[in-house]
Amino acid sequence: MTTNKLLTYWLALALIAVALPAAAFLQFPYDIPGIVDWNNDGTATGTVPDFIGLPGTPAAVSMHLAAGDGYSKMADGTGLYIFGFNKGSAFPASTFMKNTEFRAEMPAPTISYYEGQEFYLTLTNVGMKLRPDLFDPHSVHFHGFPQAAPVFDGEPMASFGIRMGFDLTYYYNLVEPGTYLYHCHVEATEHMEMGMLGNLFIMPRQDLYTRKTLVPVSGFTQFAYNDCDNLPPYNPGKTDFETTLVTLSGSMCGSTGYHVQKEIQFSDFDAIFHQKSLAADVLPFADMESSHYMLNGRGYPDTVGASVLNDAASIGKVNYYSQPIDSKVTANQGQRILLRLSNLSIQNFTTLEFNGPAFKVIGKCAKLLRGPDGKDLSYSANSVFMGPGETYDLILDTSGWAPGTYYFYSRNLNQLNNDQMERGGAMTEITII
Amino acid sequence: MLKLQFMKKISLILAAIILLLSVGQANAFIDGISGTSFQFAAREGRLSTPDGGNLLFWGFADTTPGGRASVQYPGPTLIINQGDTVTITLANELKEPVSMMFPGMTTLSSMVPALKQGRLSSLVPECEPGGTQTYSFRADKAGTFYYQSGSNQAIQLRMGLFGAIVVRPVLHKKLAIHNTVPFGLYSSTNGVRHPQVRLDYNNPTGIGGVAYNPSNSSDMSTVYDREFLYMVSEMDPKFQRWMEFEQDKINKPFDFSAWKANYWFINGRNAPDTMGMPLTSKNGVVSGSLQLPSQPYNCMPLFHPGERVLIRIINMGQDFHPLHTHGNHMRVVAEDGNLLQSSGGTGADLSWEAFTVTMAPGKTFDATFTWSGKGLGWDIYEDTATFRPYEYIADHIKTFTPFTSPAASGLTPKLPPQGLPVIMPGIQETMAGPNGSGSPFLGSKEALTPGEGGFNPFNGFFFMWHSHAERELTNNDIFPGGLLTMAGIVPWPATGDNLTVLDEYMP
Repeated sequence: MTTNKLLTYWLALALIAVALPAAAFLQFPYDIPGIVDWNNDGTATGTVPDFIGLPGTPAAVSMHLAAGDGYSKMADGTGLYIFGFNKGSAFPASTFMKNTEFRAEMPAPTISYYEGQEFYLTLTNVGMKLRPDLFDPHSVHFHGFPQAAPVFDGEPMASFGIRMGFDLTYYYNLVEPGTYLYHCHVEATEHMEMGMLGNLFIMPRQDLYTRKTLVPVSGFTQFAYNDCDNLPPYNPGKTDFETTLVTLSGSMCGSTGYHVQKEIQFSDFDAIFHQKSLAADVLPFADMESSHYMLNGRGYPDTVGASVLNDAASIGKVNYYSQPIDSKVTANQGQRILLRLSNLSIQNFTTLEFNGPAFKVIGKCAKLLRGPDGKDLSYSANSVFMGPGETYDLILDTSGWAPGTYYFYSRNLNQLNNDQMERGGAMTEITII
Repeated sequence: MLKLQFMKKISLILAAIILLLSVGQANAFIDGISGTSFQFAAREGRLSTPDGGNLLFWGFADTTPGGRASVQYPGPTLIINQGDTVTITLANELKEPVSMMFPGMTTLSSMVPALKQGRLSSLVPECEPGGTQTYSFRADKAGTFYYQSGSNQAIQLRMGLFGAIVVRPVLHKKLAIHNTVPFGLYSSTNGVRHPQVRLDYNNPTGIGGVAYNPSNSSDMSTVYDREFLYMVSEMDPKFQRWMEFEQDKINKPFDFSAWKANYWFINGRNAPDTMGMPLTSKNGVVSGSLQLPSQPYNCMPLFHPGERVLIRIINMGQDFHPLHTHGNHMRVVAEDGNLLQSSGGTGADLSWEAFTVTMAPGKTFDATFTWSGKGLGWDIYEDTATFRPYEYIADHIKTFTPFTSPAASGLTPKLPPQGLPVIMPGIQETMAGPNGSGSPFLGSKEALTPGEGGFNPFNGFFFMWHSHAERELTNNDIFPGGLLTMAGIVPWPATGDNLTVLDEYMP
């Protein structure tokens, strides 16, 4: 049976089989900054105080994710059935299901907030439209976030996943800046191969300190980590810093400053696995071999192209952009670029190589590369070797670089194709103007 | 259905745990043999996999008088002291020559390679089938190491001829000052630092210690309360079957280019067997997981909030494996038995933190891990009356008003626990796992999804420590399994707790 016929077949079944509750229970609805809707009627009933007195930066933030299935389009034109997350924050609870089902995105919507903010993440399991035989729960695992508690860790052996049609709100106190990642941890081998993967990073309070004091550090107002030694903490009520009179200093102060940042997540799909999943066949864990290698859910040249519009219009899903995040980076000569790299393959290590001047590796696993006594452990390199579940932070200082297009790509040669299509795979462009 | 099978398997293990409680099992430590003179035998054996299969392996057996005497995967863990000269007399009961070598040790026996018909047969002198050979080495350095066969390694290491070596430093339990200096303290009791209950790394009979010689009495970089071994390996069942049934190198050779692992092991077991009881033999009494006679070592780290755990990581496989610790970062303090220091006397000043460590083949890492719940933003204890050891004081008795009224949803969430920032979903809305307690709080329990739970007798917090190459979380096509184990944060005993039961799990 061809994939398209399968799609139609399952859709017919799905329409009969799936009847889900129409409402979603939002504990902190809408991620419009600062607005709280106590009773889900769409009208604001309160406001969240500003974070450390910065207008437009609320002390508590929220996001509403739907977990379900969908369809992706690889760079070689292959359509692959996926599981995934998509953002439903804009939809009121009453129409949430209708608007979010069968719209999974790969990778999941990027989560990015500031150190010190409180984050309410509501997850609604909108079910598997094309797999009415599956009753899988879903979860969000905040991968790598330090000092976790099982209840919000999303690892179902120690806690739980949320069943179809129901909602769960996670709470995270975003105390540590850095580059993390997130994914569904329910039946992790299957759900992660199917695409339930996303970027997650927390920006440091040093950014906010320079915003408060209006004093840049070495000309920078954005940093990958708190790299200055004397950065004051927030005051206990998080209404301000303990003091804003300090001139930031230290041996690494400003070393992680940047002008342009981009998150880039390496992953891959085994097309046969996805086809077997759609066909409700026995899943081939033992025989898995990746066919499509991707950055942010796309193979080159899609990595630098427009949002991938899916073919799902034929089954009633219009404007379904399944892979909305590109990996293209553009900067002016002389600017510093921060690349937040992660590997969420479930079986492949990768070495990402850059064909320009050396970059600096300044962070690993969401930690500034600095020894316990303050020693600078960052280093220069032209490539970075990354295992599944690892993250790295790179600073590219483009001072003196010739304008042009540089390439950032997997040096594992088998990862430079989109299945049979050559000149593709895990590769993207960094354009210097 | 797969989940059901998994649960049944786990139920068996739980039953075993309950049965064996009366025997007095010590879990949570590194099991091994100590001394300076051993007799080993290399022989074949069979190991069990949780999918109901079994595989042929070659391994070492401790045939020293009083030893376990049966072949095991991996070989017996040698726990020796820095400076010791160790002698091992190996008897070969296999049909091809084997040998033993000790990377990182100062070998005292011959280092002349063995040639056969002009070709390299072994990197060190080898032991012919039916014969014996004596090896000796001196452990000049403290740290985490391994031994392995030096013969025909592409075959013999895939078959399992290896084991771990832990070398205790000269200053192990010798720096009295460590007993009085608290570390890893994130909190205090009513403003006063909590007295140390378990930090007995300096206690001559205690389980704590130090992994590397401290550079001075204030160097805490490798001091630990509990230590665990994390020796990983993998097997391709096709290869193991070829070794068992064919082994015909002329007419039906094995295609090594098609070698692909489909079983992954921690300390010789696949999950969920990693979390079963160990098989121990003490004073002639054999107890523990009798179902796994040739896989005696488990891997189930259990520790208390604030304790520092040392994880001794060894990759004896041929593939890279990324080890991810849920719960917190590890701090990698040593590699290949070398403290990560810029010069002598600085402590582990080049150590680094990671939530995922790529374990390269043949490498060893030592990493420390501590969990206290610092900065979670809510009080992990439901009992708000008293402070607990290492409790994060800023979150003590914190209460919340939920942003949304549960009545508005029309669904059935649990009533908001005041100490939690959000309202929990109802138990019929979630699917809970075996290691949950039903409560978000440490040391508390609540109703679970019917049929779930039961593997958390202390209402602790469990965190999966596993390979993040998630394909490795399977046992030959069956999920879940493979390279995973659950680490448990066990609450410190409260007044009225049954300490006898606790001590049987946690020495």
